[in-house]
Amino acid sequence: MAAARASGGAPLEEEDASELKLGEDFVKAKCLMNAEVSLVLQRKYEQLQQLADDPSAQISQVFEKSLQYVRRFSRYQNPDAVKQVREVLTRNQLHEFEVCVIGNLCPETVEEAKALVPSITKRGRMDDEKIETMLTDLATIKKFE
Amino acid sequence: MFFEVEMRRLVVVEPRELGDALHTKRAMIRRLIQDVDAEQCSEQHGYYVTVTTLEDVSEGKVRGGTGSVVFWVDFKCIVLRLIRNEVMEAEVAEVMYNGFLAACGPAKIFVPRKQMDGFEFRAGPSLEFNQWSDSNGLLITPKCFVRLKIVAVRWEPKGRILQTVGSLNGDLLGPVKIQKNPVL
Repeated sequence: MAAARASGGAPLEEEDASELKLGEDFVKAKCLMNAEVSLVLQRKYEQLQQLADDPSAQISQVFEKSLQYVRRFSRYQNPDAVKQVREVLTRNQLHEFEVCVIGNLCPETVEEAKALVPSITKRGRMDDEKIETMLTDLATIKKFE
Repeated sequence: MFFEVEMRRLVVVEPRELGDALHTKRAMIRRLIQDVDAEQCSEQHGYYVTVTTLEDVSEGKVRGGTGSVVFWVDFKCIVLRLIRNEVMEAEVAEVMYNGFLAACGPAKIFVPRKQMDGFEFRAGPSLEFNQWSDSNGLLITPKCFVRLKIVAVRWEPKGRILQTVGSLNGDLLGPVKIQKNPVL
């Protein structure tokens, strides 16, 4: 590992998701949940297939693999449910990145949520009770999807 | 994590692709999409998944000598970039004696043996039967799903990929069961 590091570029150490440091290129970027990406890519995929005879409409490998991944790992299928999930999470003054991690992983308990998203309790924004309510709201959306 | 980033790029349209305004614009968009797809991955943004919206296109400028027209294009693009300490789910692709390789879409994540305490390797009759197991009966086999944490990301200029190392050491990380979405 050490030898590999010496030969390649410098490690990207300054970023740290647990402290919400995403690196300067992503400060302004919009985070997307797997379910949202899935909706976008799925629609694009259908459009591209209709133009299948057009050589410019080729589907790149990165696109195809990403589509497979988000299809498999998105917890919500219904576009309305996806929208509601984002609403619930944004209502709680969470950082966009936290919104998406929770939306992707769907923690079931408060402990799980805190372990997966350590930044959630920092700066005193969320207490256990608030997290609990939020998770219950999410579970309800999932149930009625 | 997937992001939607704003980007700016120089797009070159060759003389034979020029025509009326609509024709030129179509050629420009086609070029943009091709260029982004061809780049695949960069140190700055990670993997380029797809261009989503066109924001702004500058006035075209003719390049001396070739007669090509160049445009500055502002657009939005969906990218996949794994961030250190991010927790995410991935599918196991390959199981080896020194760790395993997981795939998150186009990105590959290597989890070395050191980053999976308590697991022991058992070689199978062939590669796809190799497995890691621990005393609680958890299994890591090809095609199973794991929840892991990214511990290091490094740009590999030769292969133009981001090398990523993951870990299973930590609370609530390890193999997971996800109810299968119907894969269409």
